Amino acid sequence: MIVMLISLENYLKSNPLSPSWEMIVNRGVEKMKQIISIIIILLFANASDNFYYQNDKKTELIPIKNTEKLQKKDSNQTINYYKTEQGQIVGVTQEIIIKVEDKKSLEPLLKKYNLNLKQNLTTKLYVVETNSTQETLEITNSLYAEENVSYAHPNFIKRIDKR
Amino acid sequence: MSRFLIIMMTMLFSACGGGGSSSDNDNEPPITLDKSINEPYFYEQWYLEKNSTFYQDNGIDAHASIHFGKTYHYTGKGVKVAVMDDGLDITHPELNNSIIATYDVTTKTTNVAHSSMREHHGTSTTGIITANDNGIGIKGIASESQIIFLKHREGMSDSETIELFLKAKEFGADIINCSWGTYDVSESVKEVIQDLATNGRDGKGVIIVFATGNDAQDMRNDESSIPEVIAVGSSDKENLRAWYSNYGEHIDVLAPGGDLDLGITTLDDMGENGIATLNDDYLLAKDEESLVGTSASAPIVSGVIALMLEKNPNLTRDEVEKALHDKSDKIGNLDYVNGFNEYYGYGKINVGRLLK
Repeated sequence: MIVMLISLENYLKSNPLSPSWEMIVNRGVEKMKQIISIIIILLFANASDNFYYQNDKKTELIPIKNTEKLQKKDSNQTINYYKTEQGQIVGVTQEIIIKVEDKKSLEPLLKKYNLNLKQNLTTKLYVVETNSTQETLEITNSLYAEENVSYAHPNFIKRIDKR
Repeated sequence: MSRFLIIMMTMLFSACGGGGSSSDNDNEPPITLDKSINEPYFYEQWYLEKNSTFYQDNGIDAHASIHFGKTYHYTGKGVKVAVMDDGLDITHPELNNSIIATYDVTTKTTNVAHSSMREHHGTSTTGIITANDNGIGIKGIASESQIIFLKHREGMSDSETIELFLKAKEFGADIINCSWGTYDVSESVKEVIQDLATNGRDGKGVIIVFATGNDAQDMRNDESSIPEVIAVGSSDKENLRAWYSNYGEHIDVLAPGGDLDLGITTLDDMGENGIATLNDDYLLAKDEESLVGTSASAPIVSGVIALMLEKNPNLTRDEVEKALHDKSDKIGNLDYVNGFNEYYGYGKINVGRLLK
């Protein structure tokens, strides 16, 4: 569609219409471009990652509807549910666990990805919070690729299987 | 008549060395019940020691126990065992002198009571380790060990799991018993467990015991597959690997876990709480819903390790693991290569030999 609009624009440049017609057509083309851009942005916004990295290996997550009670009782966050490659059902919230060398290395990452520091687990291990569950996996994978990050994974909710 | 035949057959197989299963201690006569133990249900704690009548009545292989008989003078005194489970009935009279710290990860309080009337798991696993020597009920393997109880819940985040392991460290646990797993341990949780097992106890390493699971499948990426933990599967009354017991390259040892017709005698939540049908306060071996599974096997091993640490508090995690590997009975009908196979690990623990 965009190619068609650009071709039309070029055709109009080489074959000028009367000024009033040209203005009307150009306005239409611009409007169409805006609408298409919005559609493309919306499509990309919904295409979030369905994987994360575990032990340096890309690990797929299959989105599912919640079939088990994995609610985190002290949280109002939206939980997205996935089936792991191991066949287990896990919940993903706004929280990410990240390992860095020290807290100083964490601070620029909080700013860059607009994250809140939620909990210090150890001097190297932190729980950070995104603005929405929808962006958790994508930010997790971006953090994983950062030079100063040892690893990052969602703060998964998992079923504790009594044996 | 059939009962008579069963008794005769059991006696015959006992005399032949254990119902067809091989054992390193086949030449040692099974130890009979020590009359000095004054716990009314000790006779049916078949997983600890042989009681001739109970063994005959239930068709139990003469070598099915962990051979507890020679170790009565060890009680786990001075050893701190953390139990991570679903709740604990701290009012149980068998736990009167045992609990030194409690923590609930959900409420962040010290109240670790079971969340529903049907729950019993944490009370049952704790009882195997530490039920008091008090003339009532059962014998805990390490009856004078000190219990740190850490209450988890069914749906738990990785950070909460880490929080519980760090609490165990804060309370000074020597051993952590985990009769649970997720089949898919996260990197951060694995790392915290490995760090505790390597650097805890002032560098000697906390001994972390996990049940392998009851799904007759490979342990996969379960917590019990972490090389630094002691992974415990189940044996049955025939002194073979229990059919349900998970297996894999990282399994360490087996301990009795029972089967549907004969469970592991231990504590239940008091009174009408819990699931016991024969005695409200105890899950007996032949209870309708007795405790069966690797959940029972893990605390048996944790209790035995408490006795080992009482005898020698300086044992490192590596030394404990090596002793378990070297001194377990090579039961079953599968070959052991370098003392190991993926179904039996290094064999079934023998507490008498471990404490010799």
